[in-house]
Amino acid sequence: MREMIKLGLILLLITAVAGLVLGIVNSMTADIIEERLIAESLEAMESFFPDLDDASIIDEAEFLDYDRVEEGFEVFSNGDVIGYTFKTNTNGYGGTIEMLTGINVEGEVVGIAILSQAETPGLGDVIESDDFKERFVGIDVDGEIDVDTISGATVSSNAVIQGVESAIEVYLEVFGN
Amino acid sequence: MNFATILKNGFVKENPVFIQFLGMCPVLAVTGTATNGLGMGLATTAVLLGSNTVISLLKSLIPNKIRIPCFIVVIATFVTMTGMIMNAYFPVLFDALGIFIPLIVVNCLILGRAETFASKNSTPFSIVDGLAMGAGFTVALVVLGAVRELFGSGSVFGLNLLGDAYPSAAIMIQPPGAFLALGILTAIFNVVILKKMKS
Repeated sequence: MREMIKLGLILLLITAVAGLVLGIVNSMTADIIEERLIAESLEAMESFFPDLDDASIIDEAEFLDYDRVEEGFEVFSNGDVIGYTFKTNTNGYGGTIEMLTGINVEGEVVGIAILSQAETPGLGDVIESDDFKERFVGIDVDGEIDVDTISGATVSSNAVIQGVESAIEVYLEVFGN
Repeated sequence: MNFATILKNGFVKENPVFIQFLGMCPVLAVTGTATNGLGMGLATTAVLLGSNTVISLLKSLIPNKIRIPCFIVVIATFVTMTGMIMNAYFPVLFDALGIFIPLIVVNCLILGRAETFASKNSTPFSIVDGLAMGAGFTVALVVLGAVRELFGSGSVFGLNLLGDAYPSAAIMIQPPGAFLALGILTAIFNVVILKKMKS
């Protein structure tokens, strides 16, 4: 019995030191990582939030249950929150489609941006066209998503629709009230 | 035992990849390009160096019965640190290696060195062992990555060597190519080493 307590205490000591060290490294790197993630998405966000002047990352604990949502951002203009942006990963025809969906505080989709995709050139990659992306502008988060898929690119279109759906789902869950 | 023997063991006699076949998951998975091989090798070396050092320092404190959990905690700490630092300062590499960074925890090369070397030897020897094994691992990954990249996309370290006319053998940068290249390189390595040992 005494030995077991001793073993437990030694393990506790080692894990406590490990935790402390990790905490220090995390506090040194977390800000840099966050800045980089924001910088990567900021340019794309500007395409649908033209007034944006700052963004911050939403704690991912808020949407851990949503597999498709990778990151969330709060978008600021003059210090006020003007909307939210969610980065989602969905499966297209040729791999993962990484995209952003912007939703303003009124609960309206203001636009989407495709960050990376590997869809078939000439068919699936039309999801990058402005014509397709504009179909999502103005969708109300409480209503249905009624967007026509592109013929010949059904899977790719559906993946984008799924991305917007996931973003709306998280928006409603986290900020719905 | 001396430093020269430890170095030689890491590079040649007990090369982690070509002789011991340790850590095959990252070896096979990330060596599509020489750059990724180098990044993975250096990350593993950093972890190995850290864990070997700390474990050899703590070896009198760690009771035999709970040595494995203690080793894993130390290793996992260094892996997480490496991941955070890479994410902050080398984002391109972090994105390319992705899921394989946390998986360094279960790279049996690192636990193997903790168990067979660092927990039985002095700190200076363990540091050299960590460096030597890490370097042996890194060199193997770079060679494997360079060979696969050369035949698979005609370039090495992103530098186009074979020209645009070269019909890229895409299989080499896909999973089967990893096994093919590793098998052939291991055969060459062993032929050369065995010859040297005989003479």
